[in-house]
Amino acid sequence: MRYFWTVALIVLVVAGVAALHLTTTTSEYSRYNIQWNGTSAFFSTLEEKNAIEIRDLTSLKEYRNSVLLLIAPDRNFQKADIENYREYLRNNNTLILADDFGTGNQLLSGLGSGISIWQQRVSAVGGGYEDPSILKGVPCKDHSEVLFNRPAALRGGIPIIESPALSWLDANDDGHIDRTEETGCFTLSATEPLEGGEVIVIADPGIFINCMENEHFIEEILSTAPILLVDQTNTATASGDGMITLIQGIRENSIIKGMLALVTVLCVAYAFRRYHDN
Amino acid sequence: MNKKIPLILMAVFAVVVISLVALHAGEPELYSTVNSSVTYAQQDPGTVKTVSGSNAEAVIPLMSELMGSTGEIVLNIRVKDYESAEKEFEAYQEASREFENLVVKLDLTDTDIGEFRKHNQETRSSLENLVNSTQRFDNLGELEIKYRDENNPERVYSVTYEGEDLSQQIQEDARTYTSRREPVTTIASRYGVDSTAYSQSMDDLREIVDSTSKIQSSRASVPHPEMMITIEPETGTYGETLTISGRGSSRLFIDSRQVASSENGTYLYEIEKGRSGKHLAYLAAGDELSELVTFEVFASATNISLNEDGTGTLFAGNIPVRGAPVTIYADRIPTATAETDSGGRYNVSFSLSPGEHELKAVFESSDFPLEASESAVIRVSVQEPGNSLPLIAGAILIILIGAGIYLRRTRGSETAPEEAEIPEEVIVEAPILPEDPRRHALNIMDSEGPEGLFHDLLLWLGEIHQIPGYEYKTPREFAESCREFTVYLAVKDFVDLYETIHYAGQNAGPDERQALLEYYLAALKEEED
Repeated sequence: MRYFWTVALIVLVVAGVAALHLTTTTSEYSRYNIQWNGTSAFFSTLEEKNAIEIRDLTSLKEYRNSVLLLIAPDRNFQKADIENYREYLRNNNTLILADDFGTGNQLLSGLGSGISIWQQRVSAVGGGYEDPSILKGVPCKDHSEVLFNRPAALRGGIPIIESPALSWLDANDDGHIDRTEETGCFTLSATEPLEGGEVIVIADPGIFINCMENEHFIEEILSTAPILLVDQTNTATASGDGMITLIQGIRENSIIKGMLALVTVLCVAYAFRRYHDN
Repeated sequence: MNKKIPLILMAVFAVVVISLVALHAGEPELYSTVNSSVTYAQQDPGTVKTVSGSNAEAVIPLMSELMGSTGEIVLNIRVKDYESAEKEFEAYQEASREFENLVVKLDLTDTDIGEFRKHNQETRSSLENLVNSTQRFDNLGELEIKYRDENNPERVYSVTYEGEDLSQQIQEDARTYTSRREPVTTIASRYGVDSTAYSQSMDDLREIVDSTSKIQSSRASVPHPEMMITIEPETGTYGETLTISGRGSSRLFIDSRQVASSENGTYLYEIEKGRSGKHLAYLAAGDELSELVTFEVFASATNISLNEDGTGTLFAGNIPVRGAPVTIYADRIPTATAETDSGGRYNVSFSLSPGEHELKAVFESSDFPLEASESAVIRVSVQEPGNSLPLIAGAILIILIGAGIYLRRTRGSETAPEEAEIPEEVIVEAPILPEDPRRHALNIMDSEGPEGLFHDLLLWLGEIHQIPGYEYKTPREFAESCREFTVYLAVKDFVDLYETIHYAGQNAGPDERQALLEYYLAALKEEED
């Protein structure tokens, strides 16, 4: 019997490691990524705040006076999607879009927003870090200070957060200001009233990743409205490897979960019976 | 059967784990802070050094201060409060120095802020000239009144000349000051710096220029001088020579400063130091002055070079520039300065920290009618003092030699026993029986006694019968070794007697010696048969 228990222990350890491996990922912005570039901590906060996950955009029309977070959209927006967002804004809601080099511009232009995301990285001198692409944004109003991580710049809208005065668009991404690169102060977050609601654009989804210390700013965002929605239809935060998708599918399907529980109980019962027979 | 289940489970898990590893085999990722902390979109701030005290936030306020100061200085000049203008200018100079240091420290020299810094340097030069020139021009008014009161027309005339010179200088400085308006205000507006005071200073400066021109033109009503002056050619560049001619003994004044004197009134004026632009010249002989003439110096392009050994040259076209300041920038930071010799050569030495560095030489001076120039950037590599390549190479060489010697010795000591263990292929020659065995035996007995005879028998039989380790055997063991041979009985008799004599510690008597001899000979005979 000692042999059996030794093997059982080894199997348990291997199963534990495999489970850890299969339920995490290194995908950028992924909520299943517990590394520095994942959003697992942010999504834990969202769960604590009872945020509602949106997996079907048509359900958006049910909400009023809410805030919808759309972080790092990574697929093309369909016409129907844009119409759903438009409808959502018309119901006096706020859409917060955090994106730099994703597909956020498609949504903004589709909604007819005056804000657009400049597809160039902002860097700054005196941002507090040796790497000038990590910089502290300067709030235009009474917002908390925000640490940005290789953000883009915004055009249009009413600025909420700007880059430090000595900033530049690092076109060649070399970390130095070259004569041809545009310098000045750039908008990193802007707002705009649209379709009866409000659109807020943040030019860096990186502010939500695990390694960034932006708790105060995130708290401000999350307390903007009584109802908090998180878009999971078109976002890099929902991404994961194939195995994660499978496991998450199982976790979110009650029937499969019930069947798995039943199989486990049967296995334990069988093992228990064999143990007594011996 | 029970034991098979865990084994199957183990096998299944092994397959699962191997499959998981195989999924990542194509793109292995090593999770270390260094190589997994940067992606295209993000960088882990925890792996980036924080920088404090860079004072970057002071750059824009300093730009504002500089822009504001220019307005104050020019305003004080306009209201002729020269004391306040000087004080303001000192404060402005201090702020300029602070700003310039900050620009270099923050590596902003190649940016529009670096461009602003350059414009500010030129503005500072113009303002310094304006503060001095306007003050001197104003003082000339008092002198003119004094000389007119004294009825001294020559002095009045000199005042007029100097006034003309200063008036032109003020116009020139005002022109260069205002020419920078557009680029400076453009850069300022980009950073939200208020340029109202700076723009206002342009209007104030125009009033100053108008005022000085009006005063100077009122002074122009002086009698026409009789002393002649000609200048040929009327324009020139660095290194060219202008011929200024007068008549008789005189002194040459350029821009109100005496530069030479001559007995025959002819001057060869070589253009070297001095700003580019218009200059005034006149001759003086006692109290008599010539009329005022102008000549213009055009700025020449320069070419500066820098070699890895810290030497280089500065030329204006084909003409070497002498006495010119050269600044060496290491990684965009001014690190050393030098002055060119008569051949336009310079030599500078300075120390650099270990690592890669970018060096360039820069010539920039308003004291010469020469345009600024920069050398091509050269890259140098400074080795760690304790980690230099020759030292490393030497250390590696020593290690290799040491390792070689060690291995050689090790192999030598390892192979020695092997060689000892492997028996050489020895061609054993069968011992040849002595021609006269009795004589041979008698000789041994006489010289070495019974022991010698025993050893001879031992060697002889041991070799013939290839008895292993025969040389280490006791007499009795040796006799036993011969048991299978026909010589055994003779050997046994010999050994029995030999042991009796040897272990008794007695000397062999004649009979015993004879008996041993006979046994020995018997053994030989057996072998011979």
